[in-house]
This record gives sequence, C-alpha cells and structure tokens, in this order.
Amino acid sequence: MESAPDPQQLQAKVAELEEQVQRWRQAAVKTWSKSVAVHHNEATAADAAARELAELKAKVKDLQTANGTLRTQVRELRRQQYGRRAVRAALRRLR
Amino acid sequence: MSVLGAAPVSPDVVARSLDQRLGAAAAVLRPDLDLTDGEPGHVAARFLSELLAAVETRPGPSAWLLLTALTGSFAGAPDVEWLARRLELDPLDEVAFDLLDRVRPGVTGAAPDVEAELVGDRVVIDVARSTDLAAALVARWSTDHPILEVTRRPYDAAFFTTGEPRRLVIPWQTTVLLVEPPDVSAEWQIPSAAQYSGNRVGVIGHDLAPILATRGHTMGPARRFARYLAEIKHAAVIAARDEVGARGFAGFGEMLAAQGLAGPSVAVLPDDPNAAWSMLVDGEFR
Repeated sequence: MESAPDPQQLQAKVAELEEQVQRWRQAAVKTWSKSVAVHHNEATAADAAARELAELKAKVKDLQTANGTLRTQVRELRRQQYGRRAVRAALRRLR
Repeated sequence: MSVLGAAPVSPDVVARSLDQRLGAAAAVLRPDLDLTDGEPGHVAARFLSELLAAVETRPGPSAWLLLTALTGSFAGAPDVEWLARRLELDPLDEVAFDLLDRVRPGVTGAAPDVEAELVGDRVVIDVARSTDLAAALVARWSTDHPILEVTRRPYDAAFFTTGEPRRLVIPWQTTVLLVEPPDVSAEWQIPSAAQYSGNRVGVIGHDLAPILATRGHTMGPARRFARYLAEIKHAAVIAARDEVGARGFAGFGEMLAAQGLAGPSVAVLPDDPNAAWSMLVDGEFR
C-alpha cells in the first residue's frame, strides 16, 4: 500500500514551485523592461539620426545656393572682362 | 510617434518607473498590498496578478487605471475592452504575461521612464494649447477652486504636469475639463479620458467648423476633428461658445442615440466664470 504523502514535504514542494514561478515572473518583467528600453533607445537614436540628416541636408542646400551665387558672379565678371578686352581691342584698332 | 529629445534609458529605470506607476494604481486597487522596496520590477513581478484580480471583468475605471499605469499613457477603449474580456475568460497569470506583451511604453508613444500620480482631489484642466480663454478661465477658477493644470505634447495620449520633471497625471474619480479647441491642423493624439476612466468630463465646445466647412480643404482637419468628437461624445457636458454652437453640439448629441448613448448635456457657456464652473464641474444649468 502506498504511504500517505508527508505534509511537510508537500509544503516544501509547494514553496519551491512558488519560488520558481516568482523567478519566472521576475525574468519576464526583466525581459520586458529590456525590450522597452531597447525600443525606446533605438527610436531615440533614429530620431537623432533623422535630425542630423535634416541638418546636413539643410547645410548642403545652403552650400549649393552659395555655390550657385558664386558661379553667377564669376560668369558676370567674365562677361565684364570680355567686354573690357573688346573695348581695348576696338580702341587699339581706332588708333 | 516621436520621442524627439528623449534620453536613452536603462532597463532598470524602465522597471523602477513601472513599479512606481503600478504602486500609484495599487494605492486604490489594492491598498492592502505591501510594495516595499525590492529589485527593479519586483512590483510588476510579484503583484501584477493580484492587481489584475482587483480589476472588474467589465470594461471600466479599474481596467483603464491598471492599463494606464502599465503603459504610461491613457488606455484606449479597445485595450480596456480586451483586458476585461481576458480577465473574464483566462487565468490571471496568463493575462499578466500577455499584458506585458501587449502594452509597452515607447511603442504606445509614452516615455518608458515616466512616473505617475493619481489626482482625485482637484479638477484636472488641459491647457496644452495655452489659449487666451483657457488662461483667463484658469486664472479666475484657481482662486476659488482646487484645480490642476495639465499639459501634453502632440504625440502624448495622456496628461502631464506642467513643471519638470514631467509626471503622468492620472485623473481618478474627479472631473476633467477640456476647455480648449482641438488643434486640427496637426496630428495631436486625443487622450482617452472620458469613456472608461470613470472621470466626469466637461468640454467647452468651440465650434463644429472643422467637420462642417471642409470645402476646399484636405480632409485632414475633418478626420482629426472626428476623432475629437469620438472622445467628447462620452463627456458629461458640453458648454458651447454661442447659441449656434449649442444647437450644433446638441444635434451631434442626438445622433448618438443610434449608438445607444445618451450623449452629453449641452448648453451655452455662461459669461460668468463661476456659472461656467458650476455648469462644467457640477452639472448645474441655470
């Protein structure tokens, strides 16, 4: 005949299982907070990168505008230079 | 969603903030629990199931409160209904684990390191847009009544304290006043403070133009205003700025019968700030 289970042993087993469940719960919360932190930090980094990219794009645009302005000025100066040369050549011919 | 300007956080900070928010909820759901210090996340690990046991199996304030504490953001109706249904059908531990999967601050747009305070002893007034009307009313009301001004950013689906550090304000069994017109020019979140929170919500109805005068515009403002209407249909009272507005909001209220809702009481906002307070907060129509 099977002997009756020892109540103290059963109690110890229950306590052990409860402790195990508690460890699992703690591990679940730990995993959760890690995943939340990683997601948040990635989103933060992505926002920072997006902001940096927007700033760089604005800088490139400014430089392109400045470059365009300089090219226009160079063209104008060349036109003026060509005009002065033409005038000097015409004067030479007149002389 | 955006977390512009947010600083990186560590998992321990996330867990401790979660514990603090759950502690705030536990103060009313299970005041008997001893939440004394433990390692980060110990409140969630040890007591989440017990807090869930204190939540009603019908969608209502207790489910709204617990979800709000978990996410750091006011729980929307679908989440509250989901939780109530799960609590009716499934074992608590199972629901607790599924909850952690479902509600994650950061994903919902809330800062994961935010701490919360329950406010039940003051009338909570949203002044996020800093309009002149709100400033004038708040200045008058603050001398005679206990109020708390709260604010939010466009991507916040909750109210926060106006000072630093920002703390989540959870109105609990109190009155919430929405005195400003919604900003329909941008994608603002609408905090779910009316349907399931158990708070009484009073609204100043400015006009219905965003949804009536859409000709020549894109549908963005109308769509955003429709979301605002979906929130304020659960308000207790709408005080319209004028008689025409009152007729418009009353007509909106009558449409809600199709959904089995009584709709808010509608009247014209009195010029006298004290009478306005009585109407919005106490539901007294003179």
